[in-house]
Amino acid sequence: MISWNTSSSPKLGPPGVDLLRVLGPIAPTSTSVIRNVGQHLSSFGDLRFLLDLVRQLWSAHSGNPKLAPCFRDAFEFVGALPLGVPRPQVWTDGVCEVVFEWIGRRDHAVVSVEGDGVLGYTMRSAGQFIPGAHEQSPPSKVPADLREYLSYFE
Amino acid sequence: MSRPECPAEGAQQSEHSPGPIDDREPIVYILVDPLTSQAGTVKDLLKSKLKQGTLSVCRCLHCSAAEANAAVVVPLTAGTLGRSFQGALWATANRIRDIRLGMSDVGAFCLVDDGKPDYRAHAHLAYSPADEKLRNAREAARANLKAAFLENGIQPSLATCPFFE
Repeated sequence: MISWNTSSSPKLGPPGVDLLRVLGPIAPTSTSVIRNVGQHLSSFGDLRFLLDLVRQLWSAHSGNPKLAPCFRDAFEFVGALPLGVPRPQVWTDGVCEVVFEWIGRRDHAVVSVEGDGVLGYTMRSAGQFIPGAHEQSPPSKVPADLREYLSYFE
Repeated sequence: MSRPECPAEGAQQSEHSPGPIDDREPIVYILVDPLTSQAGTVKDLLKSKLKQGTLSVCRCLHCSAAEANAAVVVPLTAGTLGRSFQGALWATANRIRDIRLGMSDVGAFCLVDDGKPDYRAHAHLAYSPADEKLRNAREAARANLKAAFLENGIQPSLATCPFFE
């Protein structure tokens, strides 16, 4: 079971596109899916690695200005992830959405950002995906039900 | 068959279609890397297309595997570097229509005919025009939709889908 410290959610500095400056340039990549099932974000280095992956996706799609707000939300969300959660897959449709997806043996969660400052998310429970409890949740915060779900993720 | 949230389902929408989509019809969703799948993973169905009501699917009782290949796979993959056919998913229309929006009795998706002159089995899958502010309910519905398509497994070729011929 994942050990949690809910009293202090780690942050990686200011969220959003400022992280691009912090991380520096990364070569563009053609892939839009990164698979990391079974690993966890157990250190700040892991969080930075995840940020790098999102940064690579952004580099690959930076020619599409409509995606800029989506990636702003995506970076904010990564910055809000606490240590200990499983490492998600990340992909974009290249049009209007960035998706974080956790696929486990039993559990499955999906978070989607569309650049409007609101998270969409769902989690599988008893064989069905159920809506996240918090509508209008900002990407700078991991909703409580999603946080709890990821803490017991299998 | 018509549902209040999807009035277009009750009547033929395209003069080129064989008619409205029956609940028992198998519906095929074709996988092309990197458009709808990547590295063996089926991507979530494209939200932008679901919102616009333009996510293309195939009514396989009304065409053959060869026709679907010519109408969908070849145009999507020919001449575009890096694209490849990765198989197909299928689910019956009623399985798709049974997916609810959250805990409501409202269907999350509409499935309407959109036959083309040279591809009469073409159809569109769309979010039902329910409350768009229910973002999480739509996320759950979309994930349940992908799960419904995956229930029959990824078909390695169109020949293993339930096409008419």
